[in-house]
Amino acid sequence: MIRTAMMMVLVAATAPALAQPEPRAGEAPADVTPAPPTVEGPPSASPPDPTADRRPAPPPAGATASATEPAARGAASLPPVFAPWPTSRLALELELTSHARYASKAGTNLSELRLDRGELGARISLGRQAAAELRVEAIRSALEGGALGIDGDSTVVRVKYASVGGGATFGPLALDGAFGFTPDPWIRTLEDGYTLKPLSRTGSERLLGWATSDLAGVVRAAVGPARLSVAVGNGEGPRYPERNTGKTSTAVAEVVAVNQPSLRVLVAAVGRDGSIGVARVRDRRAGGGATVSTPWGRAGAEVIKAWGIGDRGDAEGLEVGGWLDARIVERVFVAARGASLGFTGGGRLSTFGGAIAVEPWGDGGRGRYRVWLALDRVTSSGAAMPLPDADAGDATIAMLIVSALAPLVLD
Amino acid sequence: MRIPAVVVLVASCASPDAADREQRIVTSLADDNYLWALRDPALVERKLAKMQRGPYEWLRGTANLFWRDVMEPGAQRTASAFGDPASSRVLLVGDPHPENAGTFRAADGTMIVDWNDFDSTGYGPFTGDLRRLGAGLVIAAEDAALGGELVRRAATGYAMQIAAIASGQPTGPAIAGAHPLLDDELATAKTRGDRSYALDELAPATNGVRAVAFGDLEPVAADGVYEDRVTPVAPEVADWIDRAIAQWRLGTLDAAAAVVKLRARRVGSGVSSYAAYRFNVVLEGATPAVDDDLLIEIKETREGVIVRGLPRWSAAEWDSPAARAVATQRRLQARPDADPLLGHALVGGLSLKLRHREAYQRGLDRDDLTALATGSTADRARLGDLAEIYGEMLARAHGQARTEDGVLGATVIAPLLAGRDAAFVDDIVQLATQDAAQVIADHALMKDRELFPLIFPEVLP
Repeated sequence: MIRTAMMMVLVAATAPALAQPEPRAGEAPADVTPAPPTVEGPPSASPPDPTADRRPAPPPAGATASATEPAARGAASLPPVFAPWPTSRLALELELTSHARYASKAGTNLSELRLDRGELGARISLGRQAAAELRVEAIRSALEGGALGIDGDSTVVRVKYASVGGGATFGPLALDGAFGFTPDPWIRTLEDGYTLKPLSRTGSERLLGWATSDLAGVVRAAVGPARLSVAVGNGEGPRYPERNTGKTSTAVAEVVAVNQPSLRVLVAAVGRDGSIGVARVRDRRAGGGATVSTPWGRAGAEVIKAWGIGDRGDAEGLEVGGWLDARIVERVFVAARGASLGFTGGGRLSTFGGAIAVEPWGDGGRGRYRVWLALDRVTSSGAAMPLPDADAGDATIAMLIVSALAPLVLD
Repeated sequence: MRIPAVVVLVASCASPDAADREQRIVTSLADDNYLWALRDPALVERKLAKMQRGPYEWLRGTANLFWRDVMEPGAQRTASAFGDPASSRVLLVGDPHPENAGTFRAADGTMIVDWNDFDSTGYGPFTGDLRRLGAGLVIAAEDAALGGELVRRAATGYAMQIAAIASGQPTGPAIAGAHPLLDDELATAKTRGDRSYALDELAPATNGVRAVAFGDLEPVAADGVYEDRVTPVAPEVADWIDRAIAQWRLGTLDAAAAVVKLRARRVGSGVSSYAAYRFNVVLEGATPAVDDDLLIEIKETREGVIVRGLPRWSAAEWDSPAARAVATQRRLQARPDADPLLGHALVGGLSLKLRHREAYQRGLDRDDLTALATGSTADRARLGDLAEIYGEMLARAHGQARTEDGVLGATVIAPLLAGRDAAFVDDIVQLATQDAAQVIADHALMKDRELFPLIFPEVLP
């Protein structure tokens, strides 16, 4: 039977590639009460994740289901903390975001259409405890501002995730893992709770250049409200093969501090140690974040201390980011986000913005389609300016965004 | 509510300065040369050896590192008081060091001196180009005090020329009579060009038939670097060459004149682009006689300077790197017809620039500048004059080319300098001297290292 998946869970799904399928429409687990509705529908960018959190199925963002009425919920049946291993035979997902942009800056303004995100993911179960996943993404084939593409193609498709994973439960301990091109545990944690991907990448990705995936092995263990994910990989992300003999290790610890039908609070901490490039440029991170979700909105924050930024081993900085997404009336949402990277050596690079969005059509929670009107502002100061004391590279970008998230599940 | 302890990994964060700098150098060189290293590691190894010969060669091989240092955040960089958003989108030569200028024979036969390497062109802050020129002068002079004076003269010439352009005064290229050294270069280029020196060197004619003189036209250097090696091309490469000529000749030569007679690969020139494909092609020319054969160079071209951090289009305004190099050469040179045979082609993934390879085009030699620097007082004075001409030449290129915003460069640069010439010169002298010191320090750090295995461990067999 083919059924489309309901929304993905909000809470961090850090390890293997595939996201946990949401409980199907009308098929919420018997032992759980519907959780607060997600603001952005399926928040995960990936297909159902076999190891993602099994938070109760939030109703569609625009829906007015009983899930929005906490008082109606049974206090005795709390949502599960983390999602169990999914057993659907096939899960597909398309995620697309297109921008029409107008950038206001010093000098001549710019206007352009661009495909900000184009991803296709598939996950096939191999029995009940193993699965294989492949997810590809569209990227520009030339450098930003460059002309040399691949065989003249302006856009090409590359592998984002490609892994084989498995999971098992031993009493209260749930173990799972994946091997191959796997999602970065921290980015996955942020993105699974981050509903504003059509507006901007997370602060970690956009300002620190944190790769979304890597050739790595990931293991995750969950007990009660806590989960620990550990990834060991090349550290080079999707752009390069391994370029040095060292490996990059990333650990993410998550705790669901509050898990009520009307309020869910997740806190997470991350540590990373590794190197990138032939020069073994240090790539060290430590920090944390939190995500809060309610029936009417959700928000998140992250703080990351970085030693080594991009290919500068000597650069250090502190990145702080936050975001908020709330439903103000039926099918209408407002959002705000910001992230700022302060370099230890002086200077600050910041991005912030906001949006109003509508969901003109719903499909009963199976997918998500939104039209956004958004602003994005980029500023820098001091040593973070492209040209110190001369040009901060400031720009204000107005965007008309169309985003869609389309999952399909075959049981 | 229960919140278990969270394990956070915090690593040691010590990072010695020298190690950081070495990492940055290695990273930049790896990025610059990675594709070439995969294709032809032995040639990249020789390129790196050539860079290690001295600070000037090191400067020539590290233009991208220079621009990264100038533009990328993360470390303290000296600010310039002479810049703003509009003047950070000036069309740049990208790598205007003293050896990247040379002679040309324009379409009407006029011999001129102008910039001759446009591999790194792009939009960016005008001060970056001037700093790069200044650093080159300091290093070529091999004398810090003299170097500072040369930068001062170059910056002064730059400021004066920008003011002249902004006020509407006519400007032109450097021609005979501008400087004794340039006069010599122009005369030599004219003489050699008129008698097809470069053509005869590559493919001498015997009994009315030309044949390529394969082999080393100059002896291989003691460090193993090919100085001027000519090799045959494989059939596949010959096909690339023929396709490139077929694209390029439209609007430039008729089909009969563009018939390919001879092909060869040439290795040895340049530093930054030492490992790039360079093909020499002999074309039929106007008649079947060998006297009017044409010598064309086809050169692989890569991305120019990517100045990061400034808002701009996601794609370049040119279709390919060679299209950029050609278009910007015409815009930056005093005479858009300085090379009437200039053009470009795209063959598969290869972006190729084509130019006249005859001896009319002759690059200036840093050794000539060094000789002046170490010569008599009069020689040093002449070197100062030459530095001023360099500054004027760069100002003319910047000032007459339209910026990314579509206005003449002089209109956005001149207001910044007006009434502040002396401060501007001081600013550039300070920055360029710092840049030169960085190049010298980088070279000292890396000159004795086994660079290739350090940079490309994964390319090694």
